[in-house]
Amino acid sequence: MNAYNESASIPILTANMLTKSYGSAPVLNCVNLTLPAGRIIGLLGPNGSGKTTLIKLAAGLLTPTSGEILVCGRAPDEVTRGLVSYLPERTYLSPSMRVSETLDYFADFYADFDRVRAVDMMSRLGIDDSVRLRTLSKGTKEKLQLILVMSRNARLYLLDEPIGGVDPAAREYILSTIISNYASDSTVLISTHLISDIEAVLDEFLFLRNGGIVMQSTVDDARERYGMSVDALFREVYRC
Amino acid sequence: MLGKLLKHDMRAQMRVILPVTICVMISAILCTGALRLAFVLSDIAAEPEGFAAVLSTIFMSWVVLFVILNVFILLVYPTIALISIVVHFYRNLYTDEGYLTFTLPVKTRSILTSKFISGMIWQLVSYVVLIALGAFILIFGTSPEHIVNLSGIRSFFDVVGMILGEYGWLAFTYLISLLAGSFYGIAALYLAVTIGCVVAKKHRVLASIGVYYVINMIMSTMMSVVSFIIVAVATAMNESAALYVSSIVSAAFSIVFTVAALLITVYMMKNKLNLS
Repeated sequence: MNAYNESASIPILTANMLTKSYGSAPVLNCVNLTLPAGRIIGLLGPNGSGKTTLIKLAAGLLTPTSGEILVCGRAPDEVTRGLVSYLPERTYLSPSMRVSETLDYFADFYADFDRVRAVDMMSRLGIDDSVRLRTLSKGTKEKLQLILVMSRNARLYLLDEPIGGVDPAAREYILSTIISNYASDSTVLISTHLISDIEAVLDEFLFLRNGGIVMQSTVDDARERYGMSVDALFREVYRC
Repeated sequence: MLGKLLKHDMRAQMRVILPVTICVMISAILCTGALRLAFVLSDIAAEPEGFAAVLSTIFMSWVVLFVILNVFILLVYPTIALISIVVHFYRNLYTDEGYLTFTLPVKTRSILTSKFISGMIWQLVSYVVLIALGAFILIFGTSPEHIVNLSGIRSFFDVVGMILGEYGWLAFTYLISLLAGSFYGIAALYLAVTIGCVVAKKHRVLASIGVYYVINMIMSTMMSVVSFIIVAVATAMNESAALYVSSIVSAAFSIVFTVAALLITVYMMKNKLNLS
Protein backbone atom coordinates (compact mmCIF):
# COMPACT_ATOMS: atom_id res chain seq x y z
CA MET A 1 0.00 0.00 0.00
CA ASN A 2 1.24 3.49 -0.79
CA ALA A 3 2.46 5.80 1.91
CA TYR A 4 -0.29 8.34 1.39
CA ASN A 5 -2.92 5.70 2.08
CA GLU A 6 -1.46 4.93 5.46
CA SER A 7 -1.03 8.49 6.53
CA ALA A 8 -3.65 9.33 9.14
CA SER A 9 -3.28 13.04 8.42
CA ILE A 10 -4.75 12.77 4.94
CA PRO A 11 -8.56 12.83 4.96
CA ILE A 12 -10.33 9.93 3.30
CA LEU A 13 -12.42 12.24 1.11
CA THR A 14 -11.90 15.90 0.30
CA ALA A 15 -13.88 18.20 -1.96
CA ASN A 16 -12.63 21.68 -2.82
CA MET A 17 -15.06 24.02 -4.57
CA LEU A 18 -16.46 20.95 -6.26
CA THR A 19 -18.99 21.71 -8.99
CA LYS A 20 -20.74 19.34 -11.35
CA SER A 21 -23.18 20.54 -13.98
CA TYR A 22 -25.26 18.70 -16.54
CA GLY A 23 -25.70 21.25 -19.26
CA SER A 24 -26.14 24.65 -17.65
CA ALA A 25 -27.75 23.39 -14.42
CA PRO A 26 -25.31 22.70 -11.56
CA VAL A 27 -26.13 19.54 -9.61
CA LEU A 28 -23.33 20.21 -7.14
CA ASN A 29 -22.32 23.79 -6.56
CA CYS A 30 -18.96 24.76 -4.96
CA VAL A 31 -19.01 21.98 -2.38
CA ASN A 32 -16.26 21.98 0.26
CA LEU A 33 -15.99 18.84 2.29
CA THR A 34 -13.56 16.85 4.43
CA LEU A 35 -14.34 13.37 5.69
CA PRO A 36 -12.00 11.81 8.26
CA ALA A 37 -11.20 8.12 8.69
CA GLY A 38 -13.08 5.75 10.97
CA ARG A 39 -16.61 7.16 10.63
CA ILE A 40 -19.99 6.09 9.35
CA ILE A 41 -21.40 9.17 7.68
CA GLY A 42 -24.91 9.70 6.38
CA LEU A 43 -25.24 11.65 3.14
CA LEU A 44 -28.77 12.91 3.52
CA GLY A 45 -31.02 15.00 1.38
CA PRO A 46 -34.16 14.92 -0.73
CA ASN A 47 -34.25 13.59 -4.27
CA GLY A 48 -32.21 15.72 -6.65
CA SER A 49 -30.06 17.26 -3.93
CA GLY A 50 -26.85 15.85 -5.46
CA LYS A 51 -26.18 12.80 -3.26
CA THR A 52 -25.68 10.32 -6.08
CA THR A 53 -23.64 12.81 -8.10
CA LEU A 54 -21.26 13.36 -5.16
CA ILE A 55 -20.85 9.61 -4.74
CA LYS A 56 -20.31 9.06 -8.46
CA LEU A 57 -17.64 11.76 -8.49
CA ALA A 58 -15.84 10.09 -5.57
CA ALA A 59 -16.11 6.72 -7.32
CA GLY A 60 -14.55 8.19 -10.46
CA LEU A 61 -17.62 7.67 -12.62
CA LEU A 62 -17.98 11.38 -13.31
CA THR A 63 -15.45 14.14 -13.84
CA PRO A 64 -15.97 17.46 -12.01
CA THR A 65 -17.01 20.48 -14.06
CA SER A 66 -14.75 22.57 -11.80
CA GLY A 67 -13.04 22.22 -8.45
CA GLU A 68 -11.61 18.94 -7.26
CA ILE A 69 -12.45 15.81 -5.34
CA LEU A 70 -9.69 13.78 -3.68
CA VAL A 71 -9.77 10.26 -2.30
CA CYS A 72 -6.92 9.77 0.20
CA GLY A 73 -5.35 12.91 -1.24
CA ARG A 74 -5.52 11.78 -4.84
CA ALA A 75 -7.85 12.62 -7.74
CA PRO A 76 -9.97 9.60 -8.70
CA ASP A 77 -8.06 7.19 -10.89
CA GLU A 78 -7.28 3.47 -11.05
CA VAL A 79 -5.37 3.72 -7.75
CA THR A 80 -8.20 5.34 -5.78
CA ARG A 81 -10.68 2.91 -7.33
CA GLY A 82 -8.70 0.22 -5.54
CA LEU A 83 -9.29 2.06 -2.24
CA VAL A 84 -12.98 2.67 -2.76
CA SER A 85 -15.70 0.05 -2.45
CA TYR A 86 -18.75 1.35 -4.28
CA LEU A 87 -22.32 0.12 -4.07
CA PRO A 88 -24.55 1.85 -6.63
CA GLU A 89 -28.30 2.06 -6.30
CA ARG A 90 -28.75 -0.45 -9.11
CA THR A 91 -27.64 -3.99 -9.89
CA TYR A 92 -24.31 -3.81 -11.65
CA LEU A 93 -23.58 -7.53 -11.93
CA SER A 94 -24.26 -9.26 -15.24
CA PRO A 95 -27.40 -11.42 -14.97
CA SER A 96 -25.70 -14.15 -16.99
CA MET A 97 -22.99 -14.64 -14.33
CA ARG A 98 -23.15 -17.35 -11.72
CA VAL A 99 -22.82 -16.28 -8.08
CA SER A 100 -19.46 -18.09 -7.87
CA GLU A 101 -18.25 -16.11 -10.91
CA THR A 102 -19.01 -12.83 -9.14
CA LEU A 103 -16.71 -13.98 -6.33
CA ASP A 104 -14.00 -14.84 -8.89
CA TYR A 105 -14.48 -11.42 -10.47
CA PHE A 106 -14.01 -9.53 -7.22
CA ALA A 107 -11.10 -11.76 -6.14
CA ASP A 108 -9.38 -11.14 -9.49
CA PHE A 109 -9.62 -7.38 -9.42
CA TYR A 110 -9.59 -6.36 -5.78
CA ALA A 111 -6.53 -7.30 -3.76
CA ASP A 112 -8.43 -6.41 -0.57
CA PHE A 113 -11.35 -8.77 -1.28
CA ASP A 114 -11.90 -11.30 1.52
CA ARG A 115 -13.44 -14.31 -0.22
CA VAL A 116 -13.82 -16.31 2.99
CA ARG A 117 -15.85 -13.52 4.56
CA ALA A 118 -18.05 -13.26 1.47
CA VAL A 119 -18.68 -17.01 1.31
CA ASP A 120 -19.51 -17.05 5.01
CA MET A 121 -22.05 -14.23 4.66
CA MET A 122 -23.56 -15.88 1.58
CA SER A 123 -23.97 -19.22 3.31
CA ARG A 124 -25.66 -17.52 6.28
CA LEU A 125 -28.16 -16.02 3.86
CA GLY A 126 -28.56 -19.31 2.01
CA ILE A 127 -27.35 -17.95 -1.35
CA ASP A 128 -26.40 -20.86 -3.61
CA ASP A 129 -23.18 -19.98 -5.44
CA SER A 130 -23.94 -22.22 -8.43
CA VAL A 131 -27.03 -20.33 -9.61
CA ARG A 132 -27.10 -17.58 -12.21
CA LEU A 133 -27.94 -14.07 -11.08
CA ARG A 134 -30.95 -13.85 -13.38
CA THR A 135 -32.65 -16.51 -11.23
CA LEU A 136 -32.22 -14.51 -8.00
CA SER A 137 -34.86 -12.14 -6.64
CA LYS A 138 -34.15 -8.39 -6.66
CA GLY A 139 -33.66 -8.39 -2.89
CA THR A 140 -31.21 -11.31 -2.99
CA LYS A 141 -29.24 -9.65 -5.76
CA GLU A 142 -28.99 -6.48 -3.66
CA LYS A 143 -27.83 -8.49 -0.65
CA LEU A 144 -25.25 -10.33 -2.77
CA GLN A 145 -23.95 -7.03 -4.09
CA LEU A 146 -23.70 -5.62 -0.57
CA ILE A 147 -21.85 -8.75 0.57
CA LEU A 148 -19.33 -8.35 -2.25
CA VAL A 149 -18.83 -4.67 -1.51
CA MET A 150 -18.53 -5.11 2.26
CA SER A 151 -16.19 -8.10 1.88
CA ARG A 152 -13.50 -5.74 0.71
CA ASN A 153 -11.10 -4.15 3.17
CA ALA A 154 -11.43 -0.76 1.51
CA ARG A 155 -10.57 2.68 2.89
CA LEU A 156 -13.79 4.29 1.72
CA TYR A 157 -17.16 2.59 1.26
CA LEU A 158 -19.60 4.51 -0.91
CA LEU A 159 -23.08 3.08 -0.43
CA ASP A 160 -25.75 4.71 -2.57
CA GLU A 161 -29.23 3.98 -1.20
CA PRO A 162 -28.28 0.53 0.15
CA ILE A 163 -31.61 0.09 1.93
CA GLY A 164 -33.88 1.90 -0.50
CA GLY A 165 -35.58 -1.03 -2.15
CA VAL A 166 -35.54 -3.76 0.48
CA ASP A 167 -37.92 -4.93 3.20
CA PRO A 168 -37.40 -3.97 6.88
CA ALA A 169 -35.87 -7.37 7.78
CA ALA A 170 -33.36 -7.03 4.98
CA ARG A 171 -32.61 -3.47 6.08
CA GLU A 172 -31.62 -4.77 9.48
CA TYR A 173 -29.34 -7.35 7.89
CA ILE A 174 -27.75 -4.78 5.60
CA LEU A 175 -27.05 -2.33 8.42
CA SER A 176 -25.58 -5.03 10.66
CA THR A 177 -23.42 -6.18 7.72
CA ILE A 178 -22.12 -2.64 7.27
CA ILE A 179 -21.34 -2.14 10.96
CA SER A 180 -19.66 -5.48 11.46
CA ASN A 181 -17.51 -5.38 8.34
CA TYR A 182 -15.89 -1.99 8.08
CA ALA A 183 -12.47 -1.51 9.59
CA SER A 184 -11.71 1.17 12.17
CA ASP A 185 -9.54 3.15 9.75
CA SER A 186 -12.18 3.10 7.03
CA THR A 187 -15.00 5.50 6.37
CA VAL A 188 -18.49 4.57 5.22
CA LEU A 189 -20.51 7.16 3.34
CA ILE A 190 -24.17 6.13 3.12
CA SER A 191 -26.58 8.00 0.93
CA THR A 192 -30.25 7.61 1.85
CA HIS A 193 -33.47 9.39 2.57
CA LEU A 194 -34.60 6.68 5.03
CA ILE A 195 -32.96 8.45 7.94
CA SER A 196 -34.80 6.82 10.81
CA ASP A 197 -33.57 3.41 9.66
CA ILE A 198 -29.91 4.31 9.63
CA GLU A 199 -29.69 6.98 12.33
CA ALA A 200 -28.63 4.46 14.96
CA VAL A 201 -25.49 3.48 13.04
CA LEU A 202 -24.35 6.97 12.02
CA ASP A 203 -21.45 8.88 13.59
CA GLU A 204 -21.88 11.96 11.40
CA PHE A 205 -24.22 13.28 8.77
CA LEU A 206 -24.26 15.75 5.89
CA PHE A 207 -27.39 17.52 4.72
CA LEU A 208 -27.40 18.35 1.02
CA ARG A 209 -29.79 20.76 -0.64
CA ASN A 210 -29.76 22.06 -4.22
CA GLY A 211 -26.21 20.87 -4.73
CA GLY A 212 -24.75 22.41 -1.60
CA ILE A 213 -24.02 21.25 1.94
CA VAL A 214 -26.40 22.95 4.37
CA MET A 215 -25.28 21.14 7.51
CA GLN A 216 -22.42 18.84 8.57
CA SER A 217 -22.27 17.59 12.13
CA THR A 218 -21.77 14.59 14.36
CA VAL A 219 -25.01 12.90 15.37
CA ASP A 220 -24.31 13.51 19.08
CA ASP A 221 -23.60 17.23 18.58
CA ALA A 222 -26.78 17.69 16.58
CA ARG A 223 -28.91 15.94 19.17
CA GLU A 224 -27.37 18.02 21.95
CA ARG A 225 -27.59 21.30 20.08
CA TYR A 226 -31.06 20.97 18.57
CA GLY A 227 -32.61 18.59 21.09
CA MET A 228 -34.01 16.29 18.46
CA SER A 229 -33.09 13.24 16.44
CA VAL A 230 -31.41 13.57 13.04
CA ASP A 231 -34.63 12.33 11.45
CA ALA A 232 -36.63 15.09 13.14
CA LEU A 233 -33.94 17.65 12.31
CA PHE A 234 -34.05 16.57 8.66
CA ARG A 235 -37.82 17.13 8.58
CA GLU A 236 -37.29 20.55 10.14
CA VAL A 237 -34.58 21.60 7.68
CA TYR A 238 -36.39 20.31 4.62
CA ARG A 239 -39.90 21.38 5.62
CA CYS A 240 -41.84 22.25 2.45
CA MET B 1 -4.76 -6.46 -14.95
CA LEU B 2 -5.20 -6.53 -18.76
CA GLY B 3 -4.95 -10.32 -18.64
CA LYS B 4 -7.71 -10.52 -16.04
CA LEU B 5 -9.92 -8.14 -17.98
CA LEU B 6 -9.33 -10.17 -21.11
CA LYS B 7 -10.18 -13.41 -19.32
CA HIS B 8 -13.52 -12.06 -18.10
CA ASP B 9 -14.36 -10.40 -21.42
CA MET B 10 -13.59 -13.58 -23.36
CA ARG B 11 -15.72 -15.58 -20.93
CA ALA B 12 -18.64 -13.14 -21.08
CA GLN B 13 -18.62 -13.06 -24.90
CA MET B 14 -18.29 -16.83 -25.06
CA ARG B 15 -21.59 -17.20 -23.19
CA VAL B 16 -23.34 -15.75 -26.24
CA ILE B 17 -21.08 -16.69 -29.16
CA LEU B 18 -20.50 -20.35 -28.21
CA PRO B 19 -24.18 -21.38 -28.34
CA VAL B 20 -24.56 -19.53 -31.64
CA THR B 21 -21.46 -21.31 -33.00
CA ILE B 22 -22.84 -24.71 -31.93
CA CYS B 23 -26.14 -23.92 -33.67
CA VAL B 24 -24.27 -22.92 -36.85
CA MET B 25 -22.23 -26.15 -36.72
CA ILE B 26 -25.40 -28.21 -36.40
CA SER B 27 -26.85 -26.23 -39.29
CA ALA B 28 -23.77 -27.01 -41.43
CA ILE B 29 -24.04 -30.73 -40.63
CA LEU B 30 -27.76 -30.71 -41.52
CA CYS B 31 -26.96 -28.79 -44.70
CA THR B 32 -24.39 -31.42 -45.70
CA GLY B 33 -26.89 -34.19 -44.97
CA ALA B 34 -29.53 -32.37 -47.01
CA LEU B 35 -27.14 -32.05 -49.97
CA ARG B 36 -26.44 -35.78 -49.88
CA LEU B 37 -30.18 -36.44 -49.74
CA ALA B 38 -30.62 -34.15 -52.75
CA PHE B 39 -28.27 -36.35 -54.78
CA VAL B 40 -30.31 -39.44 -53.92
CA LEU B 41 -33.60 -37.68 -54.72
CA SER B 42 -32.29 -36.29 -58.00
CA ASP B 43 -31.59 -39.85 -59.16
CA ILE B 44 -35.20 -40.84 -58.38
CA ALA B 45 -36.61 -37.64 -59.87
CA ALA B 46 -34.69 -38.31 -63.07
CA GLU B 47 -36.96 -41.32 -63.73
CA PRO B 48 -39.37 -40.34 -66.57
CA GLU B 49 -42.55 -41.58 -64.87
CA GLY B 50 -43.99 -42.66 -61.55
CA PHE B 51 -45.47 -41.23 -58.40
CA ALA B 52 -42.11 -41.58 -56.60
CA ALA B 53 -40.54 -39.26 -59.17
CA VAL B 54 -43.19 -36.55 -58.53
CA LEU B 55 -42.87 -36.88 -54.78
CA SER B 56 -39.09 -36.73 -54.89
CA THR B 57 -39.21 -33.62 -57.10
CA ILE B 58 -41.42 -31.84 -54.55
CA PHE B 59 -39.30 -33.08 -51.68
CA MET B 60 -36.11 -32.04 -53.43
CA SER B 61 -37.34 -28.47 -53.82
CA TRP B 62 -37.79 -28.36 -50.05
CA VAL B 63 -34.30 -29.77 -49.59
CA VAL B 64 -32.88 -27.08 -51.86
CA LEU B 65 -34.67 -24.38 -49.87
CA PHE B 66 -33.33 -25.91 -46.66
CA VAL B 67 -29.79 -25.88 -48.06
CA ILE B 68 -30.12 -22.23 -49.13
CA LEU B 69 -31.39 -21.32 -45.66
CA ASN B 70 -28.47 -23.09 -43.98
CA VAL B 71 -25.92 -21.49 -46.28
CA PHE B 72 -27.48 -18.13 -45.45
CA ILE B 73 -27.17 -18.88 -41.70
CA LEU B 74 -23.53 -19.77 -42.24
CA LEU B 75 -22.83 -16.58 -44.15
CA VAL B 76 -24.46 -14.28 -41.58
CA TYR B 77 -22.73 -16.03 -38.68
CA PRO B 78 -19.70 -13.64 -38.56
CA THR B 79 -22.16 -10.72 -38.55
CA ILE B 80 -24.07 -12.29 -35.64
CA ALA B 81 -20.74 -12.72 -33.83
CA LEU B 82 -19.86 -9.06 -34.52
CA ILE B 83 -23.25 -7.89 -33.23
CA SER B 84 -22.84 -9.89 -30.02
CA ILE B 85 -19.34 -8.41 -29.54
CA VAL B 86 -20.72 -4.87 -29.82
CA VAL B 87 -23.72 -5.66 -27.61
CA HIS B 88 -21.32 -6.94 -24.94
CA PHE B 89 -19.31 -3.70 -25.25
CA TYR B 90 -22.46 -1.60 -24.87
CA ARG B 91 -23.91 -3.59 -21.98
CA ASN B 92 -20.67 -3.94 -20.08
CA LEU B 93 -19.80 -0.24 -20.29
CA TYR B 94 -22.89 1.86 -20.84
CA THR B 95 -25.69 0.10 -18.98
CA ASP B 96 -25.83 -0.75 -15.26
CA GLU B 97 -22.85 -3.09 -15.64
CA GLY B 98 -20.74 -0.01 -16.39
CA TYR B 99 -21.00 0.95 -12.71
CA LEU B 100 -18.82 -2.05 -11.94
CA THR B 101 -16.57 -1.95 -15.01
CA PHE B 102 -15.65 1.71 -14.62
CA THR B 103 -14.96 1.37 -10.89
CA LEU B 104 -12.47 -1.46 -11.29
CA PRO B 105 -8.93 -0.49 -10.26
CA VAL B 106 -7.66 -0.56 -13.85
CA LYS B 107 -6.75 2.07 -16.40
CA THR B 108 -9.53 3.08 -18.76
CA ARG B 109 -7.33 2.27 -21.74
CA SER B 110 -6.89 -1.27 -20.39
CA ILE B 111 -10.67 -1.69 -20.34
CA LEU B 112 -10.88 -0.64 -23.98
CA THR B 113 -7.83 -2.68 -25.02
CA SER B 114 -9.34 -5.78 -23.46
CA LYS B 115 -12.65 -5.23 -25.23
CA PHE B 116 -10.84 -4.64 -28.52
CA ILE B 117 -8.58 -7.70 -28.29
CA SER B 118 -11.38 -10.01 -27.15
CA GLY B 119 -13.64 -8.65 -29.89
CA MET B 120 -10.94 -9.26 -32.51
CA ILE B 121 -10.30 -12.78 -31.25
CA TRP B 122 -13.98 -13.71 -31.45
CA GLN B 123 -14.31 -12.06 -34.85
CA LEU B 124 -11.34 -14.09 -36.16
CA VAL B 125 -12.78 -17.25 -34.56
CA SER B 126 -16.02 -16.61 -36.45
CA TYR B 127 -14.09 -16.32 -39.75
CA VAL B 128 -12.17 -19.54 -39.05
CA VAL B 129 -15.41 -21.36 -38.14
CA LEU B 130 -17.06 -20.02 -41.31
CA ILE B 131 -14.18 -21.23 -43.51
CA ALA B 132 -13.98 -24.61 -41.71
CA LEU B 133 -17.72 -25.24 -42.00
CA GLY B 134 -17.76 -24.07 -45.63
CA ALA B 135 -14.95 -26.54 -46.35
CA PHE B 136 -16.84 -29.27 -44.47
CA ILE B 137 -19.93 -28.77 -46.64
CA LEU B 138 -17.87 -28.69 -49.85
CA ILE B 139 -15.90 -31.80 -48.93
CA PHE B 140 -18.74 -33.97 -47.64
CA GLY B 141 -21.78 -32.63 -49.42
CA THR B 142 -20.85 -31.98 -53.04
CA SER B 143 -19.93 -35.31 -54.58
CA PRO B 144 -22.79 -37.35 -56.08
CA GLU B 145 -20.78 -40.58 -56.08
CA HIS B 146 -18.59 -40.44 -52.98
CA ILE B 147 -18.98 -39.31 -49.40
CA VAL B 148 -15.73 -37.32 -49.62
CA ASN B 149 -15.29 -35.08 -52.65
CA LEU B 150 -11.62 -35.93 -53.31
CA SER B 151 -11.55 -34.55 -56.82
CA GLY B 152 -13.09 -31.31 -55.54
CA ILE B 153 -10.41 -31.04 -52.85
CA ARG B 154 -7.71 -31.64 -55.43
CA SER B 155 -9.15 -28.99 -57.77
CA PHE B 156 -9.45 -26.54 -54.88
CA PHE B 157 -5.80 -26.94 -53.88
CA ASP B 158 -4.75 -26.71 -57.54
CA VAL B 159 -6.52 -23.36 -57.82
CA VAL B 160 -5.10 -22.14 -54.49
CA GLY B 161 -1.60 -23.25 -55.56
CA MET B 162 -1.98 -21.42 -58.86
CA ILE B 163 -3.19 -18.23 -57.19
CA LEU B 164 -0.41 -18.29 -54.62
CA GLY B 165 2.16 -19.05 -57.31
CA GLU B 166 1.13 -16.22 -59.58
CA TYR B 167 -0.42 -13.69 -57.19
CA GLY B 168 1.04 -14.72 -53.81
CA TRP B 169 2.01 -11.23 -52.69
CA LEU B 170 -1.23 -9.78 -53.91
CA ALA B 171 -3.20 -12.43 -51.96
CA PHE B 172 -1.07 -11.68 -48.90
CA THR B 173 -1.59 -7.93 -49.08
CA TYR B 174 -5.31 -8.49 -49.70
CA LEU B 175 -5.49 -10.71 -46.60
CA ILE B 176 -3.69 -8.06 -44.52
CA SER B 177 -6.10 -5.46 -45.86
CA LEU B 178 -9.08 -7.65 -44.86
CA LEU B 179 -7.65 -8.16 -41.36
CA ALA B 180 -6.97 -4.45 -40.93
CA GLY B 181 -10.52 -3.80 -42.15
CA SER B 182 -11.81 -6.09 -39.39
CA PHE B 183 -9.78 -4.16 -36.79
CA TYR B 184 -11.27 -0.94 -38.06
CA GLY B 185 -14.79 -2.39 -38.16
CA ILE B 186 -14.73 -3.15 -34.44
CA ALA B 187 -12.96 0.09 -33.46
CA ALA B 188 -15.47 2.15 -35.47
CA LEU B 189 -18.40 0.35 -33.81
CA TYR B 190 -16.90 0.93 -30.35
CA LEU B 191 -16.41 4.62 -31.16
CA ALA B 192 -19.96 4.95 -32.49
CA VAL B 193 -21.44 3.31 -29.37
CA THR B 194 -19.34 5.53 -27.11
CA ILE B 195 -20.29 8.74 -28.91
CA GLY B 196 -23.94 7.63 -29.06
CA CYS B 197 -24.01 6.89 -25.32
CA VAL B 198 -22.17 10.08 -24.35
CA VAL B 199 -24.19 12.42 -26.56
CA ALA B 200 -27.70 10.97 -26.28
CA LYS B 201 -29.60 10.92 -23.02
CA LYS B 202 -32.33 8.68 -24.46
CA HIS B 203 -32.45 6.19 -27.35
CA ARG B 204 -28.73 5.58 -27.04
CA VAL B 205 -28.72 2.51 -29.28
CA LEU B 206 -30.46 4.42 -32.06
CA ALA B 207 -28.02 7.30 -31.63
CA SER B 208 -25.09 4.88 -31.80
CA ILE B 209 -26.37 3.38 -35.06
CA GLY B 210 -26.74 6.89 -36.50
CA VAL B 211 -23.22 7.85 -35.42
CA TYR B 212 -21.88 4.63 -36.94
CA TYR B 213 -23.35 5.48 -40.34
CA VAL B 214 -21.94 9.00 -40.19
CA ILE B 215 -18.47 7.72 -39.22
CA ASN B 216 -18.56 5.11 -41.98
CA MET B 217 -19.66 7.66 -44.57
CA ILE B 218 -16.86 10.06 -43.66
CA MET B 219 -14.23 7.33 -43.54
CA SER B 220 -15.36 5.70 -46.81
CA THR B 221 -15.27 9.05 -48.58
CA MET B 222 -11.80 9.84 -47.27
CA MET B 223 -10.51 6.38 -48.12
CA SER B 224 -12.00 6.48 -51.62
CA VAL B 225 -10.52 9.88 -52.43
CA VAL B 226 -7.04 9.06 -51.17
CA SER B 227 -7.05 5.56 -52.68
CA PHE B 228 -8.15 6.98 -56.03
CA ILE B 229 -5.32 9.50 -56.09
CA ILE B 230 -2.63 7.03 -54.96
CA VAL B 231 -3.80 4.23 -57.25
CA ALA B 232 -4.01 6.64 -60.19
CA VAL B 233 -0.41 7.69 -59.58
CA ALA B 234 0.68 4.05 -59.19
CA THR B 235 -1.16 3.01 -62.37
CA ALA B 236 0.53 5.79 -64.33
CA MET B 237 3.92 4.54 -63.17
CA ASN B 238 3.30 0.78 -63.34
CA GLU B 239 -0.11 -0.71 -64.09
CA SER B 240 0.44 -4.05 -62.32
CA ALA B 241 1.45 -2.25 -59.12
CA ALA B 242 -1.98 -0.60 -58.81
CA LEU B 243 -3.61 -3.66 -57.20
CA TYR B 244 -0.83 -4.00 -54.63
CA VAL B 245 -0.91 -0.31 -53.85
CA SER B 246 -4.68 -0.38 -53.49
CA SER B 247 -4.52 -3.19 -50.89
CA ILE B 248 -1.64 -1.59 -48.99
CA VAL B 249 -3.30 1.83 -48.93
CA SER B 250 -6.54 0.26 -47.72
CA ALA B 251 -4.70 -1.63 -44.94
CA ALA B 252 -2.72 1.46 -43.90
CA PHE B 253 -5.91 3.54 -43.80
CA SER B 254 -7.70 0.94 -41.72
CA ILE B 255 -4.84 0.81 -39.21
CA VAL B 256 -4.63 4.61 -38.92
CA PHE B 257 -8.42 4.87 -38.51
CA THR B 258 -8.39 2.07 -35.93
CA VAL B 259 -5.78 3.82 -33.80
CA ALA B 260 -7.61 7.16 -34.13
CA ALA B 261 -10.97 5.59 -33.25
CA LEU B 262 -9.54 3.85 -30.17
CA LEU B 263 -7.80 7.04 -28.98
CA ILE B 264 -10.99 9.09 -29.32
CA THR B 265 -12.99 6.33 -27.60
CA VAL B 266 -10.66 6.17 -24.60
CA TYR B 267 -10.63 9.98 -24.35
CA MET B 268 -14.43 10.07 -24.28
CA MET B 269 -14.60 7.24 -21.75
CA LYS B 270 -12.22 9.10 -19.44
CA ASN B 271 -13.55 12.61 -19.82
CA LYS B 272 -17.11 12.58 -21.11
CA LEU B 273 -18.59 9.56 -19.41
CA ASN B 274 -21.91 10.08 -17.71
CA LEU B 275 -23.65 6.88 -16.69
CA SER B 276 -27.26 7.82 -16.09
